[in-house]
Amino acid sequence: MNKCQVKSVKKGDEIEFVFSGSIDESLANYLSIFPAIPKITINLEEINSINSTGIREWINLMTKLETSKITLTNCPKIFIDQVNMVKGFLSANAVVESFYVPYYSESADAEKKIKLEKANGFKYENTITDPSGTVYEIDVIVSKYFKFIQG
Amino acid sequence: MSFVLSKEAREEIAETFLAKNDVDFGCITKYEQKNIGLSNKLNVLLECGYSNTQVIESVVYHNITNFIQNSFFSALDKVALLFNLATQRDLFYDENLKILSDATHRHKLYFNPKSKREDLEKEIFNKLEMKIDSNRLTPVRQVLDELVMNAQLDAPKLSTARNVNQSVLIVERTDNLISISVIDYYGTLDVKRFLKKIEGSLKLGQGDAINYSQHKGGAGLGSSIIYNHSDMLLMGCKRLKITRVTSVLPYNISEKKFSSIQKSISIID
Repeated sequence: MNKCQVKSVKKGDEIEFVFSGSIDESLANYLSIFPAIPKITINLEEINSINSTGIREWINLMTKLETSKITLTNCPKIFIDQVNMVKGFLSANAVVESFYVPYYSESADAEKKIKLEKANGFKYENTITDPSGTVYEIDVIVSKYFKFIQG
Repeated sequence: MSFVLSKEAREEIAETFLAKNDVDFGCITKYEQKNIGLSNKLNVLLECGYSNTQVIESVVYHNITNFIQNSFFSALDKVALLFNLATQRDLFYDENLKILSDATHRHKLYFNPKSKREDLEKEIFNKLEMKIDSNRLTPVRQVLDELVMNAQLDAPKLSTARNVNQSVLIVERTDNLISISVIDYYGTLDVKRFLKKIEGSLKLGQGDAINYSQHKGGAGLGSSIIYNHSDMLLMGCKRLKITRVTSVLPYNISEKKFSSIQKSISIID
């Protein structure tokens, strides 16, 4: 897994921070680039791993940004798992706008991920079928994975 | 998914291993517990249906050094491994020890505190012929990362040794299990402390939660991540000489099946 990288993209009055690689100890190198502004978007599309030191650094980041309204987009499963397990990982001023749900086909031994949006009420299906007719089943324990939505 | 051992399986384990008293290796089932009792000689407890917290508590507070349950890694294979180690405990620290007797892949890589973990992980997944970006392999990646990180960051901090050059990562793979071992030559692991931190996370966090606020150090979180993903965890340390931690876990299974794991812990003293 590549080390954490963070790039900032200015969008009008807001700044989107795009994370990639692994959230690990290297996230500490980026804490200084986050400004104290009212609204921040963090895009986690390219995050593929989180380790224990990364969990600590992420909480440090959330603490630093406690006066900003944080919107989290494209959260991968590894991120949602931490949200559900680690108290304080999703701070009170942060909201998940979109996240991915993994699906798996036993017959094809293949994976898919489907993005759920807050705008659509995070609506999901238990099974999906791709154009070739392969059926994929949701690959999480729903009550556990969606726990963060229910609060 | 049920991992309840049949009467025949229990008897096979008992007959195979109980008879060999010359190695001071006791093996009981809960059905035999009343007759045998928790004597000093007992060092393996074969059980079924214990929760993750109960397993930890048994090891930490009841001096059971080998708590074995049937799971994806079968009780018979676990006991056979321990039986092998009971006669020659130093074998646990041997880089050539086979944890999974029927492994189709077996590789080791040496690393030091400056080695890039991402490169190690890519190389290992490549050697194992596994997709590093698979969602179902996330537990494998996380355990590997935490074990290597312990040897790279935590062990050197706690050690007075200055001439330790390299640690070794050993992985084995069968068609449904992976064993990940890290051996370092710092010898700083405090096994009971390691387990108590996990116990704290399990209790304070209520259920599966890891309560960060109670554990400021990375090691507490890392220990919990390793334990949460493991089917069997084996640990041993010779003070200031050598540490080995091995995690055996299933791979490419659904989260539901993963949550049915009955955990086992073995402390090689």
